[in-house]
Amino acid sequence: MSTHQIMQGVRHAGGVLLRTGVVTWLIFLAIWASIAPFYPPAFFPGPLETLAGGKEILLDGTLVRFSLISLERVLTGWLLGILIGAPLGILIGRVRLLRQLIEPFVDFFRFIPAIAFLTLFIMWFGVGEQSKIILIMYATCFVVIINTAAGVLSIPPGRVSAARTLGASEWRIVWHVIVPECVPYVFTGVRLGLGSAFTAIVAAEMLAAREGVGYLVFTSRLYFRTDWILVGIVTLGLLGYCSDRALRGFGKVVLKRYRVADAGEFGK
Amino acid sequence: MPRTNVVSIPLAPHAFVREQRAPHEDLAAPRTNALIRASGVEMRFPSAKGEAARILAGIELDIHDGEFHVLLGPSGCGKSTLLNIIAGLTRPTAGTVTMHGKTIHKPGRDRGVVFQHAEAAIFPWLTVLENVEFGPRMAGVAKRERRERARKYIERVGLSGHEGKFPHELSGGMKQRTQIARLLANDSSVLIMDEPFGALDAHTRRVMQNELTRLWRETGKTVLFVTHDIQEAILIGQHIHIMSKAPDTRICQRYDVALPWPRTETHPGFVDLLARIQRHFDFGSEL
Ligand SMILES: Nc1ncnc2c1ncn2[C@@H]1O[C@H](COP(=O)(O)OP(=O)(O)O)[C@@H](O)[C@H]1O
Ligand SMILES: [Mg+2]
Repeated sequence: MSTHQIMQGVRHAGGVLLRTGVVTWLIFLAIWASIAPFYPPAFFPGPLETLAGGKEILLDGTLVRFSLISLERVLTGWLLGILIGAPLGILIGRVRLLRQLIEPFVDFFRFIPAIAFLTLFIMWFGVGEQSKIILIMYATCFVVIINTAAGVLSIPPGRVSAARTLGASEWRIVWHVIVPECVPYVFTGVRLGLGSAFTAIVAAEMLAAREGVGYLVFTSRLYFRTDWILVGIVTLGLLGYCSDRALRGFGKVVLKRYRVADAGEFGK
Repeated sequence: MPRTNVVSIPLAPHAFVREQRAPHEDLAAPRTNALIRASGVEMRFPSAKGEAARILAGIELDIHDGEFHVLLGPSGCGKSTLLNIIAGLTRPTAGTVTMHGKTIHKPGRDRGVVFQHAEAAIFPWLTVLENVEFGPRMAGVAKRERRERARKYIERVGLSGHEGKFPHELSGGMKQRTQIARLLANDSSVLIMDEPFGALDAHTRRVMQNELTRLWRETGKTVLFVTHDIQEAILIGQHIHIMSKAPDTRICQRYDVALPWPRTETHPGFVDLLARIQRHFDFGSEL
């Protein structure tokens, strides 16, 4: 092998590591590991101390249990939010009067984060599961409605006309043309909704829960277990990352014909 | 393909063509049995300046069951607008269009349309086969039967082997043929076609023109075909309506063409008619 070939091989491997994010994480860990020693572990633990703390709660089952509980809350609220948001979005997109009525409302609520409603929801629906799931539902619903309605409005009128001349009734047009047309938009809303759902659950669990990753992050402070806080944060990131990956995979395979955008944050 | 060389070169090419100055002078003739009738159809679009531009001005059109009509006119004269009105997709600002004597006010399965822009008309999330069977599916035809029907027309437009492809995998001409197959599979009695062969290459266009006239003669469907191509109009049309330039577009002349199909550009009757229609579009004509 010539040096040229070796160089090429190295460059190729480097490209793969860069694309898959391995390089990013190695750099991150290196920075973390080099800063942490300057501080006491109870204030800012390093990667190895965090790993040790993580192992501790992983082995006693707490981490897995808390993760599953948070995930269950997120998925339940999120699914309910989609089930309510998507049809509402279609309705708003189709009915001009409704749109005009709701528009000012949307621009108002856009700036109120879901968490702002938490105390109200706890007051109304109790400290149990219900209030948390409703909060996540609300957080998801909002983005799904807005994206779906935008999708409906962007449908080229030609397709609806074509369906009409082919003899489709207005109801069937909704199901066979409008819905497939806005699948990519709903999908974008659903992905954004997942983000909102995670934000909401952490806040809800911090304030009103005995279990869950948000609870872990919040209470560990009381035991001076800063490493557990970091474990909780990393776990949240991992849960979100994996859910989004799974969702994108679903979009790519199952919704392939609707050409959903499988784009990262920077549109890649 | 058997050429129509049986037709001897006529001494008077005019024998194949009957000219009619529009609006029809023979108002006394019975006009009650027209399948589709446009009377006084006018269309104004609000323009940027605020005042409405009148695109169509008093269009008169009679189409009888089983006839093949061609609307021929320059780009922008309002051909698509008129087709949309007849299809029931837009309402004229004045005048009426009736079918079987009843005013058309919405689209219907009886009037199938091939839209000018196939891209905007076929469904990108459906395969060629699924696109073509869309109409029968809406009509509740059983799966096996509609598949069979769809395959038949996919073959007729020359798309066999592409049934499973999605529109983004097709060329412009293939998309347009998908649209044509979709129309044919839906079994509409009136076929409205807006420059359907514009995106096709010369060879495919020729094949499709012959296929269309053959299908029309076999099935007895009524066809309303729009083109801005004079040669195409004469190759396929039974009745050719010449539309004037916008604004205030009217049908200024109608030609009834008795040349047999399939037609050839070298036929004396063709040459003669071409020269006459060409005059409408020449610079300085009253059109
Ligand atoms: N929805 C519309 N609003 C305003 N102007 C329109 C609209 N549709 C068509 N027009 C105008 O009417 C004229 C005729 O259009 P069209 O029927 O598409 O012509 P053609 O099909 O003969 O090329 C054009 O000048 C076009 O700009
Ligand atoms: Mg046009």
